[in-house]
Amino acid sequence: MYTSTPRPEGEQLALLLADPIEAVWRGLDRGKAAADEFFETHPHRMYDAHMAAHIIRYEAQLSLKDAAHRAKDWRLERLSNGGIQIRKDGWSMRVFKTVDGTAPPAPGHSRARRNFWMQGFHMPTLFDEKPEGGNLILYWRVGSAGVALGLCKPRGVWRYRGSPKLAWRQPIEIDPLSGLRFSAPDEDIEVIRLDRLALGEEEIGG
Amino acid sequence: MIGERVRHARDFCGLTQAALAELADVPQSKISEIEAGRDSNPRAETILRVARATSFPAEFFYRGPLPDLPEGNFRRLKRGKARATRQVRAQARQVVELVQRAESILAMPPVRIEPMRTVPDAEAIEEAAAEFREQAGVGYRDPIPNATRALERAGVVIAGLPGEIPDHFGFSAWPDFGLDGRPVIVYSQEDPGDRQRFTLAHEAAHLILHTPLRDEELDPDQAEREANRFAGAVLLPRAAAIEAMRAPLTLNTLAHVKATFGVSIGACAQRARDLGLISTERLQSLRKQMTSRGWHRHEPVEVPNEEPLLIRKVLDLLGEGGTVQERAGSVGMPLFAYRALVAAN
Repeated sequence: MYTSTPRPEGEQLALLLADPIEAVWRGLDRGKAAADEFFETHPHRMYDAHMAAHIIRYEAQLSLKDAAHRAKDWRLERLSNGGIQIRKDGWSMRVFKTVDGTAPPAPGHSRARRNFWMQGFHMPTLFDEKPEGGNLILYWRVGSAGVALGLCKPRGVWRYRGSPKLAWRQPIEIDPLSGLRFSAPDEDIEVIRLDRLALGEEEIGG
Repeated sequence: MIGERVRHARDFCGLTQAALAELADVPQSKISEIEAGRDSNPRAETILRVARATSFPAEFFYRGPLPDLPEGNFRRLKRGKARATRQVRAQARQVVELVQRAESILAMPPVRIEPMRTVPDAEAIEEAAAEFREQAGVGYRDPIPNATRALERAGVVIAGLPGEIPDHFGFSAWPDFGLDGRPVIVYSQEDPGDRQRFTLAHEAAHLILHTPLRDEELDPDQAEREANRFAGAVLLPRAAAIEAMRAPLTLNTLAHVKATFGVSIGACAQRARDLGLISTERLQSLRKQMTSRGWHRHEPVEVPNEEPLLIRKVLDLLGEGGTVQERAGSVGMPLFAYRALVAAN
């Protein structure tokens, strides 16, 4: 008997959270443009990675806020210290800049973060329709090639430069141009033979 | 008169005198004599050979003078060769002859575009573009679904060139301007849809902004810049552009604007600069990013090619005979050119 292999949880959640993930991607893409523009027009033109990251975060948050206003099935929560969290169907997804591009940063000493990394305070709320859920991290990096994203589920804490403890990690591929096409419906135009028009005949060639 | 038509047929096919002489098996000196009018009554056999070599029907050479065609305006690369330029002009002239013949037989859309009488500045160009949109009935700020049809509705005849002509994108002229003449635009069918749309709007700009000006009043580089600005303003009106291209502007945003308005990403970026939405540095940066992604050669987001309809209907209604060859002959066109206009258009 044929049985289909279930999709790994990472893939399933990347699909479930596709809309907010794309909104984050768009925000970061705009953030990159804002940072580029800042340095391109600055009199010193000296690139500063920390400054760039701040500008990217700032612009991305504005963009994400706009997207969240329009969203129907996910919501954006502002956390202390400028942190952002997205909630959907019992899943909480926090957004962090990655250092090496392949994993989220270590949680550091913050108790709240350590709890989040340890799947500590995932609590379904009144808005969550499904009891399942958990804590996820969407990590990002912006380089000359553009925005790179990954989604992962942490299962513990680790020290700075330590080995990340993750249940899984899922690279996110976003094609922002997928399905884009200009649609040009055709329209008719009238051309009439004068001799036939004079005879009161039906329009031809129209 | 025959000489003028022999020269026209040769130019139409992009041939040198030597090439035509070889194809027609007629001495080059004879071709030269006929074209220069030194032999105004060549032998029928010679004309038949020229007709076969160029694919024009033999009767074409006895139809009297060709219609006048003003210098007109080209959208082409500077490296474009003079022979190719003459070829484009000849093909446009062929369309003009056809349309002038049709005017007395067919009721075509009246010419609704009106040239400007003053030298335009940027603001005047924006206003002229808005006025053109009104004349073409495409609304104040909506995307133009079919730029070809919008121009045809405004009375402009549009025709695709029957083959690839290197480095030439389009040509426009307004024969018998001020005498109820009808403007004509021809364009390369080899280009992608977004470039074709821009070429059409660019040529419409020349018709509107530059037709009444004498050659000495016209600075060619300035005229090209004005035509580009007008084309951008027609296809991506100011109010819509400001809303769609909010800073910070990314290539992905521009790709979405392309999908909405049918304007190339490069032209959208230039439009953003024209309207002061981005700095010159940002424009340069976006262009560099396009180059690094290979978008300067092949942009993403497909814009389908549009097809002229007015000229096809003119050919349908004027052509006589049962076969394509007979119909092409009856309108005085080479079969390959007729086929290209009917099938591709």
